[in-house]
Amino acid sequence: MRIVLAVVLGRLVRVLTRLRGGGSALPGWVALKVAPHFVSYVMDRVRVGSNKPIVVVTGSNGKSTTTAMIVAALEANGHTVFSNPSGGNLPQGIASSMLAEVSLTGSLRATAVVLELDEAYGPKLVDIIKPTHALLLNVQVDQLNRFFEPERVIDMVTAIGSSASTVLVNDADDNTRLIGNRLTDGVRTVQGFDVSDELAMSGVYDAQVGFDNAADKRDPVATVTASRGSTATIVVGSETVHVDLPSPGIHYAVDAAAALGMASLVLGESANIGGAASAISALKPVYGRGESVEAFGAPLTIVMMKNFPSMQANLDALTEKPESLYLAVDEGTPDPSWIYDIDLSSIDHVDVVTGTKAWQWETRLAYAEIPVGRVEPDPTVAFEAFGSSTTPSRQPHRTAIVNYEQMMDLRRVLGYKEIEGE
Amino acid sequence: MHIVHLFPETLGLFGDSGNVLALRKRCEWRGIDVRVTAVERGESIPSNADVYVIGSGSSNSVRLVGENIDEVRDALTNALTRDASILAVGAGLHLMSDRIDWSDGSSTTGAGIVSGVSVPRPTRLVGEFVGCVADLSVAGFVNTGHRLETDAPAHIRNVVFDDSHDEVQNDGVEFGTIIGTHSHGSYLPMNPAIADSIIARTTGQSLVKESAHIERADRAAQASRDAIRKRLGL
Repeated sequence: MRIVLAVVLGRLVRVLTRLRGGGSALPGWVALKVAPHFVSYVMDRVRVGSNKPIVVVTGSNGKSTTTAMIVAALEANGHTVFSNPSGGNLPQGIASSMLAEVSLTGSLRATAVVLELDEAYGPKLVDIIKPTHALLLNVQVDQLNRFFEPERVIDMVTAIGSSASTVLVNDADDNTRLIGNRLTDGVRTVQGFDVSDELAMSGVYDAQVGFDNAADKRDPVATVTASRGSTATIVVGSETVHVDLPSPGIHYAVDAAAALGMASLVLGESANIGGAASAISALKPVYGRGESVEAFGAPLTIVMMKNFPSMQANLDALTEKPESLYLAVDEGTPDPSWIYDIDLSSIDHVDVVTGTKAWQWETRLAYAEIPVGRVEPDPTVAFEAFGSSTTPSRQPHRTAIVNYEQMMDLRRVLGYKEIEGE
Repeated sequence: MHIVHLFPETLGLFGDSGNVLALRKRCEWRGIDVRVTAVERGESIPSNADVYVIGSGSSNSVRLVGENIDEVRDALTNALTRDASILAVGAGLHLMSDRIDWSDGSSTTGAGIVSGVSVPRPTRLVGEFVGCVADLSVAGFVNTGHRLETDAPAHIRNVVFDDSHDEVQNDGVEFGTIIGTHSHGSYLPMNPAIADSIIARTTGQSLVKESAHIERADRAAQASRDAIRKRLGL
């Protein structure tokens, strides 16, 4: 009965939140208040009498994109997949996603489940999700105000991996490679995906925690052998496929290799990897990650800077210096000290810097001797100023480099009402 | 001016390159000849440099650097006899102490350059702060699980974090030519007067030559500190 009530109330809140635009967590939060065991109830019903694959995806960066890619790959192979698209990786986010798809009695129609998990909540969530497969993408320097140090994240990601019988790790990342070796025992199957050596030099930013015992790599189930702009070549078993990436950058090629590798593990011999690659190629950018929106009568490319590795990878992927550039960072990034590690050679000016941390960025840019048109901490004023002071000419689009919270605000201001996670 | 950046890969968790960048650019902008030598673990440490910067890192990084702490001690002790300056931030500061104690009961021997012991904090100290160095107002961000028990004079006084950290009044150490702090990453860029005091002491020059670059960087730093002060409700 509580489940029915949770579904009804959660859905009601969901309708209201959609009207308003904004975050996706509230409906799930309400459902969990009414029925605290909502997620585990739904997952238990998924598992009843079947061997449905339940895949979890975790790591510092690339969770949302890779999750979307695995879903596409499995759907192209005939699966009906339940997932928590983009960002809804906390318990309330997963509950919100479930609300959209469960019956009143808490049943999902899915033949496979693919969930991205927050590193910190993941170790507890796997107790109720009980995954069959875990994909460990990377451990990079991320949200140290929350995680304190990468070693703790390594432990969290290890705990998430240990909950599955089949684990796929990124062997190009020293930390997940080490985790893979830690998890290798008689009980569990640990596989790896990789990036060819010459590519790895220029695009893999694993956290330097000084674990010197470089662990052995596994024979890769998938390898990125070439990556240029928005295209990648990936070898999966005996097949070589070409993938159009949702946005440029080797980090997206790594996500695609992870997704194809996981699809091949889930589907086994019957996997149609070519079909999976086509489905991945058809994906649009995940919400706010390199997507193009309309602003001031021209396209605006939104590049998210979550942390040092994600920003550096996105800057590395720029094919030319942005002509019209907006930079916004606020309290969603409590400690932006990592901006000093960023190689800024791919930008030659910034038109407008904004957000509560605007002056910290201006300090950084001053030391890089990169000109800034205007520093305006108020994002509303700043964005208007950006529109009126820039005219795309050499490039057809403007570029905004923003943190997650500013990305959400920007989309709302521009009238993109759909909730992340929908 | 010769700057040695100690172990930037191992001890560079919180944008520590920013401190080296601030020293280097502020020299260059004034026409002061400056060079930076990055020394990774296993490489020999020059003892003839003017300024040594050692930065922040994770627990494992501290243990790793601790494995060869004798070399660090020898090089820095030697350098100090020539009045070289040391800026030690976060884990780098703890490595300058006599010993780092861990919550599992183990410990790591430090360089013994700052008399004291680094002990685990009951709760981690994370957040923005403001404080004073002599009559200068400074600001920054701290993220540490350890504190230094020492009799050495503090570097930053009248420290104010948000309400949850009323117990912290001082930060770091300052004596002779040594400055240690938990304010990481962008400490010198955000507090350029501290960078200039190190440069002035090292070069023996009064830093008169200003430039548009310095004006821009200092204005941005001032506004960054003001923003922190405002966020702390001061």
